[in-house]
Amino acid sequence: MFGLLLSVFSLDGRPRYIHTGWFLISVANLVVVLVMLALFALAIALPFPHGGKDE
Amino acid sequence: MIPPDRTPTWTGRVRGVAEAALPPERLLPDTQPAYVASWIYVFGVLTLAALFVVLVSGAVIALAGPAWWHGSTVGHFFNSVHLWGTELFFAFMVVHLWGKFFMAAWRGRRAMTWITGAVAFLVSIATAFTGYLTQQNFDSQWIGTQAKDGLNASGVGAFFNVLNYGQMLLWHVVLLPFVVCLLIGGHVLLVRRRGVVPPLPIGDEKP
Amino acid sequence: MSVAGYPLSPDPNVEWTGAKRRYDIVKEAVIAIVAVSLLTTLLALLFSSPDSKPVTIAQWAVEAPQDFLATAAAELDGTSGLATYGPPYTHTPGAGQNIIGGISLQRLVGVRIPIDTARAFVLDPLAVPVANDPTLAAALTRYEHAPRAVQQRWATGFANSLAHTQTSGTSVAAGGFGPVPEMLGGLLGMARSGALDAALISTSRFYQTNFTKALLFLADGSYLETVASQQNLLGSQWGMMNETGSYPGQAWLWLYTLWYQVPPFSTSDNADAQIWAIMAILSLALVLIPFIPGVRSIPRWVPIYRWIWRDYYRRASSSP
Repeated sequence: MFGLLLSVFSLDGRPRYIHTGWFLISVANLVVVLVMLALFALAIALPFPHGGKDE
Repeated sequence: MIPPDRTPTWTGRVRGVAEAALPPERLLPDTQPAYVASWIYVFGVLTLAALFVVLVSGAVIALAGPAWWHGSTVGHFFNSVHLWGTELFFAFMVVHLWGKFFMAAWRGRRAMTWITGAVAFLVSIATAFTGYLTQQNFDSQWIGTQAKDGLNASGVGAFFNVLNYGQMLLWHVVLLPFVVCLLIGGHVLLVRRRGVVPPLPIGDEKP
Repeated sequence: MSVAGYPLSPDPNVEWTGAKRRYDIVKEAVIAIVAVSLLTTLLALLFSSPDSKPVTIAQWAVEAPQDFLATAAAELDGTSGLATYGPPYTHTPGAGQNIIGGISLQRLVGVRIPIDTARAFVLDPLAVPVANDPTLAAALTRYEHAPRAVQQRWATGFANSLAHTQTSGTSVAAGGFGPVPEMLGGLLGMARSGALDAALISTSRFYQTNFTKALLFLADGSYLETVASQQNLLGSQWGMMNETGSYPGQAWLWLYTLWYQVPPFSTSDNADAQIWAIMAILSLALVLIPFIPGVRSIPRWVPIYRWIWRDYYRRASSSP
């Protein structure tokens, strides 16, 4: 039978944190922030296709 | 058609103002300036799309009530869609904000576009916050009992009681989404009205 | 020199009359909605969403009875966190956080959600079990008829003794504290049965949606906080940003929670009021960036725009 959680990767386990001095961030949040920064960088760097002749 | 006495009606006046501000070609254009040619420009519509997913998944959860998802696989799935839609909504919105900041997109009488966007960001935070409060799980208990101190310290907590579930549920489902949609609607119409901001001048030339 | 249709210094105040490209706004919106819907569905299927079971007062009373009793005693003698909180809950002189100097929005607004902690968390709930327990009823009657100073002495004495008393299960050590041990023992039994959870939500009306009293009582104890610390949700653990388990939380709250980690806020009694004031100012500044000299010039100093519009600048600079 299916459990209540339809998940392939369970994120309910023990959280992992990065802790240096007073700075503390969860791995999950860090991944989100890094992905956002990567998206921003890629959005600017990647060439945009020119679909049609400019008028 | 102007009525026989030729006095413009309220409706006529509103239509006139709307048509002047947003004629059809501006409201639903099929051309755009040649400088709109970067992937950074898609993050606005991605944010809107994520908002759409959040609203629809929220509506599905509302169909069966706030306790449904704790005991239903389908309900839990839609709760997950609602959560990840919210994460994507904020991620896309912040990247959109970064892009618009570095383009100084408030130039050329576009300050209100920036303002409506920034206020929408802040109101979205409040909306997500009330969402966490209405989950009916440990998260709701902890977030509510912690957030109350900050809100009480600023005087807001006396009126906006984060421990009052009924109040928070209605703010989350009715009041705040209405305000968010109003702000984002205004924001999008302002972009249509003013057009996408042109490039900053390069060299010594001033705009 | 500008190329026709590609001015090097376009005027942002006027409608664009330069080069245009084909654009399908409806198609763009449909593609975005489909793409984001698929991505969200994928994330939901892969990772689901957290649902940590809520803590109940019954659970608290079973797993940490001494903490429960200590909290109940403190509510009774008026020394609990809530009893001394000040506005909006209690009229405690001088209580409430200051933004700066003696300015307190908390005190200015005043008590709007009044709670008498002894009545709300001990005396009124006990009206339920006393209906079938003559001994408990007698204890409650004795307490209610005693002078206030005597009530205080009993409750405070019992609260102090709890620190030195081994408490396990339903038995509560008694000794010179009047009817208080009997009363709080009855309350503990009521809590363990689940009846206190219900009593703290019920009012004279049938339908209920307000969990204020139950949550404030839970928060006055240490049990809720213990569960939270295991999930790294405490303020000192940047908890505002975090979520239970390994789920991403609210990364956008980074600046709100950062202040709590640094002096002087990390040790200030007025941290909440001060930080919320700072964040109100910074939030207003975010909204008003177009009008803030210096900040509104950052895009020109950090020329990311040259990358964004590199294609346009190349065309604008090319020879006709």
